[in-house]
Amino acid sequence: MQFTRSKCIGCGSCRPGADTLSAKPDELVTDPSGLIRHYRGNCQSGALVKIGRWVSSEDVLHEAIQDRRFYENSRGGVTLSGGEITTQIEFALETLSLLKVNGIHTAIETNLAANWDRFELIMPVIDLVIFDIKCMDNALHQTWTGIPNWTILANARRIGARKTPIAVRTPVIPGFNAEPEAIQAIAAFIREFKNLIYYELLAFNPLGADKYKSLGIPYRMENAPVIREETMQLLQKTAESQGVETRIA
Amino acid sequence: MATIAIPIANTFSYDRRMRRLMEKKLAVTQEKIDREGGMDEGDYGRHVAPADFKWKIIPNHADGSFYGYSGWVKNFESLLASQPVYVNPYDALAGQTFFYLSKMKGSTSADSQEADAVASRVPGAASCIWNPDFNYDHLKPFHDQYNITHGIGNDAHYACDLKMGLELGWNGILEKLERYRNEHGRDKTLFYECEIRTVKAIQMWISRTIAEIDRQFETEPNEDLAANLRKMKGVNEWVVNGPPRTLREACQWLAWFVLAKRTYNRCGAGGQLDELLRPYYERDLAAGRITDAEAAFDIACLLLIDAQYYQISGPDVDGKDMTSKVSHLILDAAELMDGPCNLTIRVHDGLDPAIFRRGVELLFKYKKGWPRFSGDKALVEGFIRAGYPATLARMRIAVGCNWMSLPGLEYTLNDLVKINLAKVFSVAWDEMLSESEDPSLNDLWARFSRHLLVAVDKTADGNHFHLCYQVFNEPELVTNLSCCGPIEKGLDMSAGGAEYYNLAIDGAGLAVVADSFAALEQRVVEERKLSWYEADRCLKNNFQGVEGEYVRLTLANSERYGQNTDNRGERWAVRVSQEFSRHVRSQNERYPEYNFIPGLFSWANTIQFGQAVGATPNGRRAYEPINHGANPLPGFRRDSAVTAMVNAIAAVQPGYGNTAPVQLELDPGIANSPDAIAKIQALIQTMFDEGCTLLNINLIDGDQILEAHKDPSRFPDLVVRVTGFTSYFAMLSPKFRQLIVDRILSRDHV
Repeated sequence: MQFTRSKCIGCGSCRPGADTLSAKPDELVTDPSGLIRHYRGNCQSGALVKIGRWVSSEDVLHEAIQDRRFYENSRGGVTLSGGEITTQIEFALETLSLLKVNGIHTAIETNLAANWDRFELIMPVIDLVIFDIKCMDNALHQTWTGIPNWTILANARRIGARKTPIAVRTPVIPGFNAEPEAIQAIAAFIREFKNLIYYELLAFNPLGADKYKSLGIPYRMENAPVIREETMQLLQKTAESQGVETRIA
Repeated sequence: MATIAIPIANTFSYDRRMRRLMEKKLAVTQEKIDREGGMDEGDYGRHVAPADFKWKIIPNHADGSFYGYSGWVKNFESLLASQPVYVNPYDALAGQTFFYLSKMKGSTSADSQEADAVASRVPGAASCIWNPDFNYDHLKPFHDQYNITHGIGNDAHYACDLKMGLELGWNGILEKLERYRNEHGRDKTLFYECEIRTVKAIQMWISRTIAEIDRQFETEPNEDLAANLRKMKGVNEWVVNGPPRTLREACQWLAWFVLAKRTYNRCGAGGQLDELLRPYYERDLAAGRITDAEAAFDIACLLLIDAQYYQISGPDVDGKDMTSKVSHLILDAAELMDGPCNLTIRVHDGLDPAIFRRGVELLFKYKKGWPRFSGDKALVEGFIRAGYPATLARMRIAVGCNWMSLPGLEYTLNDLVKINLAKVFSVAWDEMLSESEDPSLNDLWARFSRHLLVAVDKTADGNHFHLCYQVFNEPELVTNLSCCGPIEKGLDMSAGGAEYYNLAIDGAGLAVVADSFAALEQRVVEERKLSWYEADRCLKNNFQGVEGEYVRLTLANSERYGQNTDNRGERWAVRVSQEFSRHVRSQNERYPEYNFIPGLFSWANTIQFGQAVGATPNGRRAYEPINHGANPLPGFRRDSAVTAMVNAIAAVQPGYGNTAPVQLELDPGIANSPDAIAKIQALIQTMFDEGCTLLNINLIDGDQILEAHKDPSRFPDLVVRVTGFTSYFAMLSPKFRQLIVDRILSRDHV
């Protein structure tokens, strides 16, 4: 559930502050002023919305096919992105298969933090894998993401040994991995992958703060500094010094 | 202004000379802003006359204005003989526009502001000061009822055959006029006499300019600049009479013709510039008398002198790509100039990939909205559907804001005649709610269609009225000179001189109407969330109060045009577009001497059209702007996907060779992607494969435009593509600046 204060017209359809015992927990959100709002499907202003919608694989195909000519001319296609697509592996498999059968280029974005058998299942219907490697230091990885990086690196090695093209990305986070040593270690790890088409460094920005607020979740990076362009260029050079084609964004 | 002494022996590269010319252009633009305020049209390059310059129109009518052949030629002669002449020692070419005669005919006042004030009240009617001897009061109630921009009395909006003029030269045109005058005997005396006087007035203007070149040459201390002035003098001494022989002479001849038609009545249609200049360049090159740098500079001076619309590349009559070295030189010239520029690259199957890629690269590099791109496939197929062969369809090139023209062959009223579809809808709505006891979607559609037909009928009647009497109002004395037919027949282009009469009627506000029908279908008919009368009550009180806002949002959040292929919004948009086209095409039966061609375009009048329409069932509040051209309304989709927008616009193309352009605002940040050029190329290629006709594109930084809006003087060289035309942002009126800002903000904040 997401509530955006600036869109609310105060019509009362979400009964702010009213007894919400009858509501399902996933229909409730606490707004910034502490009022509990109940999603009842009638917020016409779009202030209180359910994020996401249920779609079938056929729905995705129907939407994607509308842009088929654009994919053909740009050599583009459809990327299944996150959340994490391996949490809906049956849907991902079905959707990717449908797209593939219809001649549409397929890609996934993943954090690789899932059992290999899930990837094994969908790899035959993927034309490009885009995945994150955030940090080679396991302890730091555990601290910042809440999980160790063993599975991720093991999966990366497996995918890096295949022929399916891959693109590796690192979100550059101040205090976590915004140092040349951290990036150099990642670049040294991925340079062995023959199927790597590029490595991309994504500068941290605080633009997600409002979204956290509207979801009623504390935003812990509020005071984090913006990454300077010079820092990104330095990190790009560091990665390139390992012989890895590197982009910054 | 302080003058800077130039050392005598200083030499000037072409780049340095162009920088000096651009500094002058920026200074002139600022002077225009200071003296005249912002403008609601493009920056054509016009200069301002000294503050103490006075000239009064010479009336030939009791209302204090001037009309017809005699009135126009007399005033044109007088203005050209009196206005300042312009020579700049850094320039390859001489001459400049100072006035638009068609904007000065409002009264006996020499002050053109009064005429401007009159004209600016009516959307698109920039110079509609009509000869009162010919009354169209019978049409005015319909113009008001349906908010029709009728075009009666408006300036030339078609292309001349510039090749013809280049081959003849001014004396050649005079000889042709004399020959046909003799053939016609006394029948067409007035026409020929006035045309001959028009040519002689232009020649006299050139001669006065030569005297000024001479004067500057005598006193110019710098050797480089003096040599340029000497050459400029030689060029003009030749082209004042003879047909151009060299590239510089060709550019100078084109400059004079362009300046003359701009001064006369603002005509801004250029031609296929690469093909026009190619023979001269190739001849110069073979003779070893030109370098590419010099050629680019000469062409840059032509682009600088007036921002005419020129097409480059595209297919010749047989479908073979016309891209040449000169096409690239024109892009070199545009780069050298780096200012407002209206170049269009025509994209077709055989287009040279290098020019296509370069065009997109320049769009990203300079972020000034040039070049634009047009789509050959749909344009040709459409014009064939309108009854013409493919060879003619390929000759119909991009030379206007939203429009194509057959150089020298057709009279068109392009971009002058528009029906506000949203107003037609609101008339149908009000009628149904006041008359019907059982409102329904079918009833509303039937009434909309019926009113639309009346609006189109009356618009076509207005076109016919214009063509019957325009020659007595504002004959096309300058453009007649380089068209096929007028001189031969002794008839004005507006009065039978042209080969074809392809009359454009554009619809504006498509998205408002489509989204309104879609919202009613979804919320009233199917979901029954509100009744017809509740909806009407909310429209009438402009969605007041929380309840009104709730209803407004319910309507606004229904399926919209552009959101998804073949959703409710798009189905209604297609239906409305097809109905409009059907009604426009049906006028051919009423007026078999004309070929009526539908298009979808609002020009930059989204605000004015919106001001004529109350609240609408798509959740639009009263008097808010309508959508731009054929674009969906801002916020049409959460991700504002460009591909979805393009698919929607491709689906609603009227399909008879006139356009429903895509107006695309892109964030310049996308240029950071290494694949940006290739991706935009693919996007352009695909939109034209899908049936789109024209792409007007802006790459503007949102923060920069907001800063510039607060204080335009801080960004004197910020260029934007307003609709089809580019302009300095600083010289636009606040209203037009707001239009650009709103579009960029809606791009960034949906």
